Parts: sequence; C-alpha cells; structure tokens
Amino acid sequence: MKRVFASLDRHTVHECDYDEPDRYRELLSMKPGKPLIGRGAGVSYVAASFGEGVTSIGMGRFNRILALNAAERWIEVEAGITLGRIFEFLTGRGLCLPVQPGHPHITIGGCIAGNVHGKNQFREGLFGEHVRSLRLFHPLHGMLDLSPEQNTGLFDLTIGGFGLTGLIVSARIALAPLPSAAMQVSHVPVGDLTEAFAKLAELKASHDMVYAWLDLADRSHPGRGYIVAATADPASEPALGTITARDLLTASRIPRLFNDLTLPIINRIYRTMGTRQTGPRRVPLDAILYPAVGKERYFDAFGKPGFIEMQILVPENAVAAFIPRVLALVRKHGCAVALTTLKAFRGKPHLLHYTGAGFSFTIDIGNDPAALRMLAELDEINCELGAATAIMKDSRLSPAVARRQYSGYDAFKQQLLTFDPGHLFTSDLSRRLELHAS
Amino acid sequence: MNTVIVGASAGLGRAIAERLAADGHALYLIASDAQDIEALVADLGIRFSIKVSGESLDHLQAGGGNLVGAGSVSSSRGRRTNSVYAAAKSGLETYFAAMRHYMAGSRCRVQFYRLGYIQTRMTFGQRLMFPALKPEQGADAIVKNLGRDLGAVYLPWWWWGITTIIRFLPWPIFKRLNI
Repeated sequence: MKRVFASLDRHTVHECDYDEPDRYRELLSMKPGKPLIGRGAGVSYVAASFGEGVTSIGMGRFNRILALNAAERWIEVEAGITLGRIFEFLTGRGLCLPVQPGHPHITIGGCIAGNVHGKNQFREGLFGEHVRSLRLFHPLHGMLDLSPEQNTGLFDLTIGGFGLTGLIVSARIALAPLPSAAMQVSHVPVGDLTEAFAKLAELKASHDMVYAWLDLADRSHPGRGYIVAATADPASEPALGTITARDLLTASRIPRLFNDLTLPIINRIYRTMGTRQTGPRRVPLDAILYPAVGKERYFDAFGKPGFIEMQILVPENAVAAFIPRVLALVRKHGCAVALTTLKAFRGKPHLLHYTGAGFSFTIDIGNDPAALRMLAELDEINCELGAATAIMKDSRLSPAVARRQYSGYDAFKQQLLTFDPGHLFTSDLSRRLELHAS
Repeated sequence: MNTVIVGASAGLGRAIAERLAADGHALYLIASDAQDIEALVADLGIRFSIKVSGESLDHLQAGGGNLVGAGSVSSSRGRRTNSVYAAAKSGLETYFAAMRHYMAGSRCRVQFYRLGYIQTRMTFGQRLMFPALKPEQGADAIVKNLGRDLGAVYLPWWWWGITTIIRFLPWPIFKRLNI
C-alpha cells in the first residue's frame, strides 16, 4: 500500500510503498528486488526509514519480549517494541534500559540503527554499547545471528548502520538496575554559552543525567538558560503506571508559530518558567527520560516547511573556539533559533557513530533560505574545528561534509558495499549521503 | 479460565490472546508458524506470568499428526429449527476443508466427521427419528481412521443417504416440513 511519510523535521516528504508483516514467514519470504528499508516508529528527524521508490517495512508487529534474565540483567526483544513498553515492563522488576532517547514511542530497532544516546551519554555511552547480540534478516543472506563473537564485522556495521544492512528483527540488550522511580531534579541557571559549557562539565561529575536548555533567540544575552541536573531519588515509591504519549507525527497542519518575532518571547516565557523553581524537586523517572512527551506539537510549530535540527559533537579542546564563532554566526544571520540544548559526551569516533569526548550542541531552526545559509557556514566551522554533525538529525547534511567530519565514512561505505553490493536496503538518508556509491 | 486460541499469532487472534493474558487466563495457542507461536508464548508468559503454551501447524506438518473436526449432518441443508448450529458447523467444515488443502503433501491428516445423533446431553430424553450413536462407538470409529486421508465423511455412514434426500427435496415440499 502507498503511504505518505515525513521525517520528524518535516523536511523530507515522500509517498512510498509500505508493508507491515506480522508473521515470521512473511519476513523470511522476502525476495531481493525492489529497494527496502526497515521502519520502526518512523520518528527519526531525518528520512531514515523511507525513500522514493523504496518499500518501507514496518516492524511494529514484531514487538514481543522473547526472554528476560533478571539475574544476568539482560532482555531479549523483537525490534518493533517501543521504549515505553519496555519501561512499563521493567520498572516493576527494578530494571531499566541504560540508554534511552527522549520519546517512549521510539523502537529498539530504531535505537540500534541510529545508535542513539540519552541524557546520560557521559556515563553510559551510546545505545549500541549495551547491545549484546541481535538477529538480522537480509533476503540475500537469510536470518543472521550477530554479536561480538559471531559475524563480528556485520554486528559492528549494523549498530549505527541506519538500517542499511537489513531488517533488525530482535536483540538482546544489557540492563541496568533501576536507580529509582523518581529523580531529584535541579534547574541551574546559566548566563551565557561559556558558563553553560563549564557548568555542564562540572555538574556531570555529581549527577546521573545532565543537559542544558539554552536560549539563542535572546539577542541581548544569547545562551541564557538553565541546566537540568538529575540524580536518583531512592526514597521515591516504585509505583509506575502506563506511559501515555501522543504521536510525534500527525497529519495536523498548524500555521508557522515560530518566527523571528515570536521565538524571543516564547523562549523567554519558557526560560522564566524553567528557572522559577531551581531547587531539587522530585520528578517521575519517565518525565525526565522522555521530555518530549507532552511537547509533541512543538514539531508542528515550524509550519509546513519544517525545521532543521543540527546536532554537533564539539570536541573538548574546541569549545573555546566554537562558542564565539557560533554566536557571531547567529548574530550575523539574524536567524531565530528555536531550541538550543547541550549534553556532555564521552567515547571515541568509530564509523558513522555520533560520539566522542566533548559536548553535543544542538539547535533547531526553521527551514528557510537564511537558516540554510547560516548552517552551511556552520558546517565549515565544524570541519575546521574537528566537530561532527549527527547524521540522524540533520536533513541537509551533504556527503562532502559528512566525509570531512567522519573519519570512518569511507570504511562504512566499503563494508556496506561488501555485504550488500546490490544496495537492497536503501533510504532517502543513504542516498543523500551517498553511502552506497562504489 | 483456560482458553484455546486457533490462529493466535496475528491479527484478532493475537489481540484476543493478549487481552486474555492480561486478565490472567491460561492459554493454549495454535498458529501456522512455529516462530510466531514461540515468540508469542514467550512474550505472554514473561509479561503476564500466566500458564501459556502453544503448538504450530508447522510442527504438525513436519512431525505428522491428525487434525479431527466434529461437524454435523445438520449442515447439509439450512433449516429453520437450528439455523445457528447448522451455520456454525457449515463454517467449521469449510475451515477443515481449507486445512486439509493446506496440509496436503504433509504428514498431517485432516479429517472431518459429519456426525449424526450421538447419545449426549444434547439428545438426552429426546424422541429421535433415527438411532443415536454411543460416544464410545464414535470414538472407536474415529480412532480407527486416524492416519487416513479421509476428508469429510458421515458417522454413521448411512446418514449420507438421509442428508442426500433432504438436500434434494424440492423447495415446495421442503418448505412445508417442520424438521
């Protein structure tokens, strides 16, 4: 059947073929032919789960829990299961997934394909670091078991492989003890970007999760905002119910709410509300894990043209040079930045993984020509400073820039070509970034 | 409550299985695909801590076995006196015909019996036009036939004649009969 799919940033829209198998034999009978790509919740910022002329394979029916070993702390699940469903299941058993991105509708398959991160990246790293094994289906190669001991190269390529090695069917994932049912959360005000970077680096030593919400739409004090710092609250009750969240992507059409005039006002109100109560207060764990819940319509507020989310991994040693240059750029172009966030990161670059020792700096900006010009200039600054742009976030990232920013770009392409020379698994993302070219 | 669900691995069957599991019912699940059944049995058992097991038609196909359906002579022609029962048995017979087709070439035999009167609670105390079979007699015949590629047959066999007459009765006569 035909379906119209849009990326979360509304930048890319295509009418595509869609299939949603609900039996293993339907998966296993797939033949190599037309290009395919797996699709979980379909909430990636970029068009990773669809493409023109590509059949998206919805994995939502493969959402079962296959095994749980509480003593050894691992769970085996099918790839279409959502984070929310796992959260509901595990919390009562005193366990949790160590890494979780910000919305409960995201699937495990998506987490693996995107090798995503949470608000504790500086401690727990990327999602893929906790995947012990997985099953992958490719019509040419059949059902394959992958792990650090079996089909090692393909395991490595599939984690953070954007679904281009085949359909992720199931995975065994290491679990962590549930720290507590609620967190003690503080909002620490910061006056500018320099203070935000410094404060974040300081707070990460004493907190389980930290991230900053900053206001770059404020012309007089760009970078004002606050740091959200959370620690476990062992005294909290473990009663956790069902998580309810609205869909991130709907067919709703609202006029563009965010523009140069409204954003400074909206952000000021949001910042004022966020800093009204700074001291520690008890917040349910799911509210801190999934901050996008309840804010789903935020993504509609950029109107039909959508927005661009640019997420940049700024190496620690480049922060001092990065701050004045990004501020000068925003001033020069006069673009109102809707959202600016900052997270602390650890890790080493590998293939196309978004990781490294430093800070993850994110901006959301309305998709218009002025913004695109500004982001193109920011690309150059990033390349100069050794910063990398998150591939799963930025719909306008070019292959040339990705190649300059990721030392593993050519290796990824080469390994993918070896495994899938016919490029059976293809998406709008893989085409844009020329990940298939020989 | 113990429940058997046929066609449990997908669609409505799976949804019913999940709903019953959430209410704590013990389940026995049957579906055509072994992997689907394994996955669902694992999922429901882990999530709801219920007693759940299952079987797939794959296993029956590969390992051999018998699927035996109990129908009724009443489905030979629709009559006003037992419309729902006859319709249900007709549907069941069609399902078994499909199963027999599905299993053709496998080691599983699918048999369907159009049963006449049986001495059960259903016929207890009733004045019947034809003799009723004892359940033990029926069981003997069915067990003796296991492993044979029978298709749909009458039990006792002579019901074939009676139902053929009923089926071919002209409408002007049939509509006057209160059977």
